[in-house]
Amino acid sequence: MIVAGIDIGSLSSEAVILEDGEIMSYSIVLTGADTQRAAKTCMQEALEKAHLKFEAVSATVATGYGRINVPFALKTVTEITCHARGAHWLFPSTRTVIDMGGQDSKVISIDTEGRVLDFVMNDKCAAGTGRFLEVMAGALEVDLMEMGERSIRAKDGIAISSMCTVFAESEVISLIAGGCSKNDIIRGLHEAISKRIFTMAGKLRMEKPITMSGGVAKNRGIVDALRRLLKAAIHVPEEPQIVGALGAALSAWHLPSEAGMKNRGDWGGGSEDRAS
Amino acid sequence: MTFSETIMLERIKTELGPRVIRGLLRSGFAMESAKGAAKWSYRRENRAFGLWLDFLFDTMKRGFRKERPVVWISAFTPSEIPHAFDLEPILPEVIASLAAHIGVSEHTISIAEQNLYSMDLCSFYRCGAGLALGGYLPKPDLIISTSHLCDGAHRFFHNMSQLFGCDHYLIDLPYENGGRAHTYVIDELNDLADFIGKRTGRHLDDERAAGVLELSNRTRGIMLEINELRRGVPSPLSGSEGMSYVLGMNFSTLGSQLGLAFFRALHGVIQERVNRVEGIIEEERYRLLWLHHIRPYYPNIIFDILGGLGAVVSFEEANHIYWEPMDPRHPLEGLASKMLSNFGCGPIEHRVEAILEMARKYRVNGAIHFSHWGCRQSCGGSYMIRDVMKERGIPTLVLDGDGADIRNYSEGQTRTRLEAFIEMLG
Amino acid sequence: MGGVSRRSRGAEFIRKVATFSRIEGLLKDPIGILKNAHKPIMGWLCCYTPLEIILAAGIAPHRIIPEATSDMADSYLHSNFCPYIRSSLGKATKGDLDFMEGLVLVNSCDGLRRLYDAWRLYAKTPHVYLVDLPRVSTDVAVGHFRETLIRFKGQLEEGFGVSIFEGDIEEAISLSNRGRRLFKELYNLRKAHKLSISGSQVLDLVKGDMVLPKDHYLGLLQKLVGELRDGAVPRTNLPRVMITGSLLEDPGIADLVEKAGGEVACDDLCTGSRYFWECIEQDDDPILALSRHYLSKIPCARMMDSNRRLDHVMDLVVDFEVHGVICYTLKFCDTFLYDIPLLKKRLDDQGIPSLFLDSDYTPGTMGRLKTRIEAFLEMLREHV
Repeated sequence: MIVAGIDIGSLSSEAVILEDGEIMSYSIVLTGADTQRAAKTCMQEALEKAHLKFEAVSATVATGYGRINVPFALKTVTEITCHARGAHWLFPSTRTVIDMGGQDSKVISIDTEGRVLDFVMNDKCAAGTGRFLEVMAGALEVDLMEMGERSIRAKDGIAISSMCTVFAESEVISLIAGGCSKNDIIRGLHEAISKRIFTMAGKLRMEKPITMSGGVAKNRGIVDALRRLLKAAIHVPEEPQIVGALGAALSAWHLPSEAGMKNRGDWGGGSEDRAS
Repeated sequence: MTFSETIMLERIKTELGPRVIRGLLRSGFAMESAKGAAKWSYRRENRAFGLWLDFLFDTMKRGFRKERPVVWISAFTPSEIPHAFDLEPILPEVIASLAAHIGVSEHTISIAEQNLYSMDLCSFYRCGAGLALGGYLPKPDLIISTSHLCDGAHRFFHNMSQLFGCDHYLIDLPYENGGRAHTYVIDELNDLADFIGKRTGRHLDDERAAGVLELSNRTRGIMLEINELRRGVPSPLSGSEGMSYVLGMNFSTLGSQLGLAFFRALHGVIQERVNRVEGIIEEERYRLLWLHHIRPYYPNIIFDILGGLGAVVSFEEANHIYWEPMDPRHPLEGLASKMLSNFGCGPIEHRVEAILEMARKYRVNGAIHFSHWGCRQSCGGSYMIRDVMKERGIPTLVLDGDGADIRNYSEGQTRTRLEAFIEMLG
Repeated sequence: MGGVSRRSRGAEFIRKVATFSRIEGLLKDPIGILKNAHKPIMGWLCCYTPLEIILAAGIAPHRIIPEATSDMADSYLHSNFCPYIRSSLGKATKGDLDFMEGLVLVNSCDGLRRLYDAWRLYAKTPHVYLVDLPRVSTDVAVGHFRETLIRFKGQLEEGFGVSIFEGDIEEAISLSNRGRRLFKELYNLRKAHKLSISGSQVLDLVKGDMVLPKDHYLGLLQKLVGELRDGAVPRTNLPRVMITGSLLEDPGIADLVEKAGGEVACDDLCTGSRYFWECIEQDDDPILALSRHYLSKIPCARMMDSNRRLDHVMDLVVDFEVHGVICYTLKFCDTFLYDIPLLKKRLDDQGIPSLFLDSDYTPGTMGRLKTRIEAFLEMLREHV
């Protein structure tokens, strides 16, 4: 059976296609303003990579904040459950998942079967999320993707005390004006953001091993800082960004394959449609 | 921060480091050496400060050793009560401010937040909860708090009583004085005396109580004289000091010999400064009144910026003496009156009247209402106070910040607001 | 199932909808209906307000519960302050509450204390009262609160030119108890049954009693409760959720739970069961009865001994066979925030999963909480 999972996040969207429990293909695109379009684009890309037509997919499950805007999905499941399932599938021993996404960060504790036992999320404020890093990258005039490497090259971390994004931005600007090295500031930022996650994790009865998912997990600086704070090894998947979509695909896999549970017909066109 | 404070903190930080300070709060031995180190840099300049250090370190040490029953009290619980019963008073709020001072509050606040204390709560209580959960404070045998001025206090102390499995007595204070409010509080204090007796075996002795109130009254007299001296130009004591060790002693030591000695020493220090016509800053161009009971205790630049602009905090609401002397023969009546006369209780008009009186007395050019993030009761009124003050011709700045949680402090924003405010004063 | 019973249930359904839609209709314009009653209107905010004295004075009490809003009188109260308080003041300063002749606040919390100040300073309501309220329920406190209530009665008599006799208060207590009993019956039905109205509609019914003329409303409610009793079906196997906390600005939160595949079993909320849970025990001295009642009722987190409230929450979990608890607090509501560590520990000890949510009262809140509630239900479904 072939199934798909699709994760519409605030910054990026991902699709994963599974066949009989193996990943056939995946894709990552920027979400942009039109979530429906993003959903279709990333699904299309994944289908192409797997040399499939949409009709071959028995079931699609959508997750992420834009999950309700995926017309061709059979069902929606929240990203909390999906990250738990995805992380469990990648690293079956995982007991805690840390997902740092664009607008939300979460710490999820799961049982040996990959079921959610408890979870905490950041409140409305952006501190501790990918968005926070993006704003700081802007203030520092460095590329977001470079931040991890830069912080590893840093000689010393500069303590950043502010937690509010606006405060931290002005703190960063005055540190630059004061002649501090950008790399040192970045390491300081990573340490500050990791402390937030550490405090969040402390609210749960957190058990090891830990798996990290979400785009921010690609930032080695953050992973290192978290490792130091949590005093534990952290599994990072090869492609941490697709864990949510993978979990969604696994959810599709487990859907009872009764009649009428087949994908809805409102896919609205194949590859020829995409050229327009 | 005064120069001497800076020296002490730098010494503690560089020579001992935060890790040791945590241990220091726990171990009497380390405390002895820290006290020695601190005294060394202070004694010559400020005798009162030295007495404060003695007091603080000795209390903690005695508390850890359990020399006598330890009672945790809230800042507005009259310290005369533990002194009259010969109990060891520990004030977590005051210690939380010290923790911020020496840079360990970030650590303790993180402990509290991991234990589900919301970051919207007052950072002094978050810090206090973290100190308690981390085992950095002497364990209480009992807890006494009052319900004035804020909700946070009685809720915090209730949680602490649950944490330590000890009893908590709440002195429930009516909204304002008048009617049967006074009798109600006296009834409660009688009940409290029984409560303490049953749990500690220490009963209220009329003679001891009279002595404690006598001491408290004498100390009050000296505090009034200090406040008179502070009317002088240039201002002889900084608001920064007024809201750290001076206020800490105001909360903890009224009714003790040490309290009397401290305020006498402080009076001496201030009198000398007045005699030498020595101010806090070189040229005093603006005199300010600081509203709200606290200031930020972590390293910050507020008072440096003000000083640089020729502005000095001449007086702070926190050190206003609002209560009348108490009759030592009727201690409970006196203590009830003291609590009920707090100008923070009742309608905001009480506070406004008191503040206007202070503004007149200290001839201030303006006021700063520090708006501490987690505070509802005082900061909830900050805009009203600002509006009323403005009507009376006293420009008032509402300055947002946080007393103990440096994460809610922005140096850039603070600087802009302070500079603009002083520019506005002309 | 025979066709007959199905048909009769259909008829039942239509009758139920008829009474419920009438109530929903009234809830669309409670102020218009209050005005038609030709009684002075008195606003209130806190569940500790002694409504029976207001009713006895021939005044119509009306709870102010603004809808979720971003318009919060931010120039009068600091933004890190209870959003229920700020949005209520916002309505008053905009003139939306000019129909009220009076407002009665209770010295419950820092929020209400400061609101009493701000209301007098910035709003135009003619009579604004503050009723002091002890935080303990000792005999001394009950005596003291009784005196406070007598003073409040005197203030109303003077302000509105009326005389309130003991008989009036006794009558008001009877009326109030009638509502309390009806709501209790409605809630108890949910122990074993599923009602034909949703969780948020139950909360709407409670709201009705807070905002509409009581005597008129209770007749309708009685009819509806009877109909709901007859139409109740055995409950489903869905995960049962309890909501506890300060107040829900939008009962739609309960619908989120149901849409996510759960059932709202019961609540411990200021806009829910805490408003009516116990009847007032009559006494020869009706004001003493009120004093005793309000100080010993299921407490709000503002009372000193939070254990009484938490015991009650845990009792509800058992009585209503609850699988998971959602703890919903308004931002900056200190008293409830302090209960969270204590509540979490108790729930963990009993193995009851919990979800902690906070709301800033803005319209965006529902969207922000949706994912969290759905994830919580997904989690409960996996374990139930």
